Amino acid sequence: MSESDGDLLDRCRRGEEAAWHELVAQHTKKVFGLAYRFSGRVDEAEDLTQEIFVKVYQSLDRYRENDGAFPGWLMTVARNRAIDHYRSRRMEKLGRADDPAALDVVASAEDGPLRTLERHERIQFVHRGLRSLPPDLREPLILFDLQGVPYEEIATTLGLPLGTVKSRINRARVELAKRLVRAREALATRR
Amino acid sequence: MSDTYDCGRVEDLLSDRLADALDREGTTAFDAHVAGCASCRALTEAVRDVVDALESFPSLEPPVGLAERAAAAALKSRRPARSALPWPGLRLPDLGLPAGLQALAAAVALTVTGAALLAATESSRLLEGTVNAEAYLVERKDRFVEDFRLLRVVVTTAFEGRLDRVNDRVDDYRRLLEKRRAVEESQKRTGEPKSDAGSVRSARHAQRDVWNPNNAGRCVVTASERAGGVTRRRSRRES
Repeated sequence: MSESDGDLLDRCRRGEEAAWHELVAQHTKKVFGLAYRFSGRVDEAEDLTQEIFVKVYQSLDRYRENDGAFPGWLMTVARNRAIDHYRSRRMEKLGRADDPAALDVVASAEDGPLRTLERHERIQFVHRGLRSLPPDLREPLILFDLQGVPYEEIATTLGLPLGTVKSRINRARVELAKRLVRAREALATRR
Repeated sequence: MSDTYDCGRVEDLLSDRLADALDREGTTAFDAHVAGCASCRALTEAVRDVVDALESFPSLEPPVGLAERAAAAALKSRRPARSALPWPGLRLPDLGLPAGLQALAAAVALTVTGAALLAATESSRLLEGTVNAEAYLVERKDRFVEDFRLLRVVVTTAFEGRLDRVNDRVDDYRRLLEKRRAVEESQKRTGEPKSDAGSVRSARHAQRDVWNPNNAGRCVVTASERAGGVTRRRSRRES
């Protein structure tokens, strides 16, 4: 049975490196997932994951149990870091391709081959569209639809009023949906 | 039921309708408009598909060994404990003079040495600037532009009301500038023309860890370094 975060944190604070390694191992998947969704590239997500854990390690002394559960605190630090990282690099990212290899989608058991293909293409289309959204729409959308972060927490993280967060998420979805409609219409015209 | 919503209103309320967050009247008006408007129907269906696609994003497994590398990088970022004296082994020689006199002599010697070093540095800087005035001015201009961009990052972050994140963003931007400079210098050295976005990215990635004396020690292993199994120090001012 794995040790709880609280026990591992206590050991980390006493300077036990093995406890830190175990803590990182327990949370790497979630942090890497977040990093990948923000960066869109596996290599960049790896670097960002490391940066996030460096930041977490340097902030460990500031974490108190009454800040909430450790995973929540960790993901807050990770999100802030990912947003900073994304904003500082967004100009460099323009015109750069994402990792196509990372978009392998597992087929749903009840979908037939054609539906799976259509769904796969749609996910790829939306993923590409997401990359090209302006940052003020993209950030809240990633946090809400990909990370499942509640509106209130997004508002705190991004320093925006709640209504603005909701409206930006809706605008981001509508923008992607309009592109999808246009793509479908273009496809129907060609057929 | 009369159609009280127009297309713009429906667009604004799409997410609320999908989340069943509209009241009964709103839901009825929304549905009535969508039933009679083909473009809003298509848009509503497309938004559903977008949300489904976003929720179906693949969940990637972290690369093998990432947890170990991340943990090790964080451990290496730990600041070394500072000793009370900058040179703990330094001892003044016993010349048989009173301690006060020895201290005074040491202070005079340090001042003279410091002044000499400063003069030498300044004169060499002046000489360098005179000999290669054009390059010097170009460099100063580039630095000025970079400083201005950093200032812009600070101002933008301040306008966002995130003063607590200014240091991180400035550090990120500074690293980005360093990488660009490294790539440009590398291109100058090799005489290569500017390459495409992918190879620029590779070059930047390969050279991303340039030592910056302004920053305290932080060690991160980059993906490109791992290929060679090398760990280098990444510059990073600790907040």
